[in-house]
Amino acid sequence: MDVGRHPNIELLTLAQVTKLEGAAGNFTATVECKPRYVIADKCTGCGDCTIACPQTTLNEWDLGLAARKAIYRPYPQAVPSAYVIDFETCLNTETHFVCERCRNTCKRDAIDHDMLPETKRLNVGSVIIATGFEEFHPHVMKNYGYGTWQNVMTSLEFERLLNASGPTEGHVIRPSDKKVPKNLVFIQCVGARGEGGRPNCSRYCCMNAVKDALLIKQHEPEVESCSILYTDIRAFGKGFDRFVDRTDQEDYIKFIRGRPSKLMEMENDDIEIFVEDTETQKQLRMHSDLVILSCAGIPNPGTAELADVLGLKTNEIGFFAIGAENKPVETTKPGVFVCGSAGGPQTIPDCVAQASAAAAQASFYVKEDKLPEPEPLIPKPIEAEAEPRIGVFICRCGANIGRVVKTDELAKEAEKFPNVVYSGVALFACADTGQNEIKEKIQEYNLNRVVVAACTPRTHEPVFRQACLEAGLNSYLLEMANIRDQCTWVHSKAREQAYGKSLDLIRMAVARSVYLEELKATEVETTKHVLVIGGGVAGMQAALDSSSMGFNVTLVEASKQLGGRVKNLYSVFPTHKNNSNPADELIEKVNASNINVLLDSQVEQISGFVGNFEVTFKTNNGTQNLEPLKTGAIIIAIGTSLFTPGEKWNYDKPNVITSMELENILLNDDQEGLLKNSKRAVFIQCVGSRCRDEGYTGCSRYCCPTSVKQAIELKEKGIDSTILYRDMRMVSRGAEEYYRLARKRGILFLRYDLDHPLKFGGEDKIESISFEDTLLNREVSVPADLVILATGMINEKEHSETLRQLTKVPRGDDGFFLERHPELGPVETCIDGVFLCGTIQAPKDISDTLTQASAAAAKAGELLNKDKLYIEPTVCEVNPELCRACGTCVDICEYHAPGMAIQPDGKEIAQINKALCKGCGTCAVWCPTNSITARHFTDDQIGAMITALFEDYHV
Amino acid sequence: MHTEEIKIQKAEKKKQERQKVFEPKVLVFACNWCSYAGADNAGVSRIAYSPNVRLLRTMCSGRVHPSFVIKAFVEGSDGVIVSGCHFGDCHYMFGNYRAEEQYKKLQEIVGLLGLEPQRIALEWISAAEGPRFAEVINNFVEQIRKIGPSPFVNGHDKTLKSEKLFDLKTYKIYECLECGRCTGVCPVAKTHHQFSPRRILSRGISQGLNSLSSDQTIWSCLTCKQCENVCPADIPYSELNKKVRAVSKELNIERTCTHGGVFEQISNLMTQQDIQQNRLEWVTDDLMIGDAKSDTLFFTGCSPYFAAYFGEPYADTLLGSLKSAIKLMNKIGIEPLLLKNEICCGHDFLLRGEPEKFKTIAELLTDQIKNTNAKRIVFTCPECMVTLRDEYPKVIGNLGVELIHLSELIESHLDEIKFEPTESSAAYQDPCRLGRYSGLYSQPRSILNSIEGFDLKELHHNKKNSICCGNTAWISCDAGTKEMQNKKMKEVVATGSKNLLTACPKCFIHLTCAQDGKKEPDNGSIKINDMWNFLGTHLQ
Repeated sequence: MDVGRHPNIELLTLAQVTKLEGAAGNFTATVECKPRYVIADKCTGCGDCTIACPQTTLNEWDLGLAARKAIYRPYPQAVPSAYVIDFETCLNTETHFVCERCRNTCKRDAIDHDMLPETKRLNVGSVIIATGFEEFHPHVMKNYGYGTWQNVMTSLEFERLLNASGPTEGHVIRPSDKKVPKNLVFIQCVGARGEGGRPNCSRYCCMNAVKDALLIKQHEPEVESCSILYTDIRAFGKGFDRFVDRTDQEDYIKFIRGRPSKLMEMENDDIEIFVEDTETQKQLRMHSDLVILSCAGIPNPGTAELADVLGLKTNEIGFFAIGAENKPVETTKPGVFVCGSAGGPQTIPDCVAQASAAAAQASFYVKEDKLPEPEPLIPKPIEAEAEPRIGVFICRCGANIGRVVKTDELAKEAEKFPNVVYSGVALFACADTGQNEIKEKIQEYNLNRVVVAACTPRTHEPVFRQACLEAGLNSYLLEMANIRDQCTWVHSKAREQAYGKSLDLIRMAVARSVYLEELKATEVETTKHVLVIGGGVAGMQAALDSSSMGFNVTLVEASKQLGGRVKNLYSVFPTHKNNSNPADELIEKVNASNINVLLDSQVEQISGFVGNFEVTFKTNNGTQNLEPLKTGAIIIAIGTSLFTPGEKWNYDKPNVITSMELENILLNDDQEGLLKNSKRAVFIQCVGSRCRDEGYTGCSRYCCPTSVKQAIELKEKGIDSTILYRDMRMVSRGAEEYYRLARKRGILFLRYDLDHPLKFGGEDKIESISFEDTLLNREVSVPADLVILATGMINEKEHSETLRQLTKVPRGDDGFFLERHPELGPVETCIDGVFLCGTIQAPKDISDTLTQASAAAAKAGELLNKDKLYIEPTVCEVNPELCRACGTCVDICEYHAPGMAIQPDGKEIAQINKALCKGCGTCAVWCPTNSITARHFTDDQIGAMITALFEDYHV
Repeated sequence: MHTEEIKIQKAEKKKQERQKVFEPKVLVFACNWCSYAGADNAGVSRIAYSPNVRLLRTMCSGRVHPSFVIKAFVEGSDGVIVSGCHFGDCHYMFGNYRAEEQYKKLQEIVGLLGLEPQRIALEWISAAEGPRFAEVINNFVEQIRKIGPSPFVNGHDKTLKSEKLFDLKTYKIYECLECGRCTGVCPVAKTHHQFSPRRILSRGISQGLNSLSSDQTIWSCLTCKQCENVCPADIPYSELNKKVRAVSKELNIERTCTHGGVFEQISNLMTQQDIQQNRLEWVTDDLMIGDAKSDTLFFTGCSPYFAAYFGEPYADTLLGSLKSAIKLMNKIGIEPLLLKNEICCGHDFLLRGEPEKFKTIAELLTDQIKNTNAKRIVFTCPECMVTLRDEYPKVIGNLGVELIHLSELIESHLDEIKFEPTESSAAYQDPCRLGRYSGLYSQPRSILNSIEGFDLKELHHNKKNSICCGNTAWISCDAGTKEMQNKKMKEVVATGSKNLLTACPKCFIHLTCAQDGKKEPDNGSIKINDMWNFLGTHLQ
């Protein structure tokens, strides 16, 4: 919806790029737009045409599980909300018109069967590809029976069943007999990890299956069992492991480690599954009444064609190839970027971060062409002490409202309400004609309040507010009554009651409007400066992107040099280029730029608010006096620490090291000869990760690929390695294929778990490690000359607490800093103007760190690119006359908007920072003296609505 | 009593008749981002549901004050749903958690009011859950249909008119010498520089009542009677102030309120005939309560509602005060009757300028009292006592029963009670309604002094000069109020004692509240207790 409404975004649907000419900064794209056959500006989404259409076909959105008409809207929240004609299904062809039913039914004349395709030539500076992915087609794997047996479905199909707005309204039923399934089985890695010719891991399927398994019981309590057949559970992201652990509470969810060998259909359409439970070494024959295939993500059809058109390469698995390692959103062509699953399957938080990262980098090519900001309209103030003069506009919305309630009568009744001076009916209030009528009546009747009884304010309030503004009336003097979505659409068979309800809702709106106030947005200037805290790869990438967007940047680093942890790595997965790592390249770029770098320094104080922060610094040795800084945005990239193993891991022994220490040894050419004297190395995964009693409870994400990388490197030095793992979480790009390579090279992988702890053998040094191999159910002893502990990432309070308190960013339960929302705001925090990137938010690999860093720069840029920040005035305000400085509001606000202040007369009161307040109104409820007013949702307004409603509640 | 039973039967019959054609009136508070959107989703999917529901949109469920819900019942709702986002999904992070906290208070209040608990609901509905929204609505409406119309089905009396403007002359104000003594002693004027009793009178004399148009300061007076104490012309300032408030609507003066107006809404509900409260849960088995034959009635006041709304650290003390009062009465051989459906004395209506509602409630309460065999009513709350003693005769005539404060009663039977000796001290705060209004200074002191080892301290401004606790009738509260309260606490500190005892539940609440909050270096350590609660723990 935000994209649809955005003034700077032109949305071309049914469009394809057929040619791309030019170079970065100056491309010409040829776009072919297929005709919609519906005029989007005129269509109001009323749906009358769909009812009239005689042609039915399968709905792609519901994956063929439900039907639609030839003229349709894919789903209710589609943007644009206009309908579209699928010409393949429509009875008409380009030459023959045989059916005009939809056109005849449409009261808005919005249907045009004569619409022609259009070719547009767009001059653009950069291109971003976000074409997504498609689900693997499991019919090629005959053994799964998909397409032949009824009760085998893909996970996306299952999603549609689970979805409340799907074809079954959220009821899960078996396709064969429509009964609720009792024993579901999820089969993981379908079309992945080697199957069906696809070697990679699809990243999201493990979590998706666990989510579905947890959800299903809420939808269908009769479900008896949900089994997940897996090879590794890749719960690698923030909060993922904790989510999976929730299944411990549920007896009906079972995890069985094994890939099914054979499936057979039984009578009654059940499925029999042959699978080895590798943990118990038993061969199972499972009975399932519904099998869900967790299919991998594959490239969208047309990827190869589009790559051709754009002059890009695709990678070995058919997705758009990235231009260079550790440049995760660049393609092989400068100026063209890729984000999301178009580059390879991703989980949603990673897709969103990549999208912002692509935007950051793409904006480099367009930063000169800033769009002019429109002049704001200034409303005429209404006279002080003026009596309310309310105009009521009742919309028929074609027949949507008009067919169910008698709008003329409503208008007549509404005119009798107190303070109403005009009351009338419009066919489509939101259309140009409707809006012009509103503007005219405002002038004619000198209205100072407008009530529109129509659809929902959630979509149309901005439309009517704009109309008021254009007529010179403050846009906050508008109130809507929802008589369509919440009345005629849901009470269409109870016409009398719908009429009564409409009248009640209008009366409520009229009563509220008396108390509406003229509100004015606060304008705040912003300082066009970005402060990046932390000089590792995340900080440097964020600083470079911000700088390339045209902002001044200050980068502050606590240690004496830039580069962070990555600088001290011997080589980087997966290309192993010795002594050349991403940190070096970034350091070079930073040094060559205008970025102001403060080394050996820390942030001392932060004050101010979004767009207007003031920061002071201090050097670590206290020598220099550093200038205080005015900055508009702050990006936190301070990274995180590595877990320090304790005695339990025998870390005190001379031949037990951490993976970071191994990197150092490789870097300094094994000066102490530890490698020279070793023939056999053993890596232990999950040291300090996925633990309840020490370190981090979640997955540290980088350690599996790192250990594999190190094992391959040691192999080249003649050392054989064994990796002891719990799950192999090879989720980084290309990591699964790398895993295959490592096994080929003879590196051994043995599986242990927390229930069977490792036993270290040896006196002064470790000589062997024994444990119960969970896949062999046998005690195994692995000889070891060298033990490498793959230590996890943890957020040490001492490292980050000072900065956290200065910025007021909350910390999650897991110790890492909390993002605003894992999907909708992965790099933002609840403090406006403060952003996060890198491992301070959660453990991740270098590629994902760089992505987040660019994303953070993009978000900071979005904030500072505007000339002014307009803060919505629907915020809370303290009446200084009534405040008694009890501090309750300060305690209760998540956004730290209220603060205590001393007035000139010495009185202490609370004050709410308008730029930080989000207008939720919670503080207004908790304030004991009622001195807080929640503007636009005041007690008076709410009270008036309640009184007006029950004055005459029509039932 | 017989009449009580008939009344209940009549109410039942009326209820059944109404239920024959009963259509529930339900109101839903829906948050913009989830629940309201969920309702829209149901609309877009054309899922039909019961039309007996209207939505009121707020941005967050955390915006819903319990007083909104009570107001809905006052106005005639049969059921109210508060709906927000699922935990973890709140658009404002934790607003829905706050909504849940307020909802818990609401549940307690609804329980006290005798409303069926099924009449309110707290639901979490997301933007995608159109079908679930419809289901929730349908189930709720059916539920309400089954339990029938709200006992407050008549809504609030819209025929109540506000009073007409009156002639100030009738209030003796022309005898005012404009000497300024009232303002000099007024504790409110000391901390609220816009307020002055004298200036209000002067304006009234020279320009008539209309000169007070739009003057918010008429709400500042606490009716503490400090001014009347010193006025050489004996002007009844408190009465005058109440009278002016009664015509505040005509004078275009809007009233402020605290705590969302929740207590106002609760007392509004009590003006309705069919309320059947459930307010005696706090009575424990060790307390001996009288029966219908009892000749002594103990009037408990609104403490159970305050306890429900404020929670700790108030609830324990407020309810403990009531229990101790009964224990003390038991000790001297009295088993007091408690009114099962005791309604508010109506004091706050007068202070809010709603004399018509006061009359209504006075009549209802008088009815209740006359239906018992009580010859005497014992009070712990001085406000309630003063109201029944001074204001009720003006509207219903003579109550015909003796009205006595517990301190008077206990003091006259002090030899029958033994207290545990204690090595503690406390200052005593004279409540306005007990001291200046009723002249009961020595009685509480005698009782406290009878405790061996107890050191009773006197505040600098005590007895007739005692300074008001700062609030009355939940009307206003601000920084000046806090200043007043701080000054009082400083006086306590000055006595050297860390404890303060008071004999009024309102004083207890307001002074305890003054201790909450930031930066109270001097006063933060004062322990405030209700006198009866204190005595109750020291009974042998």
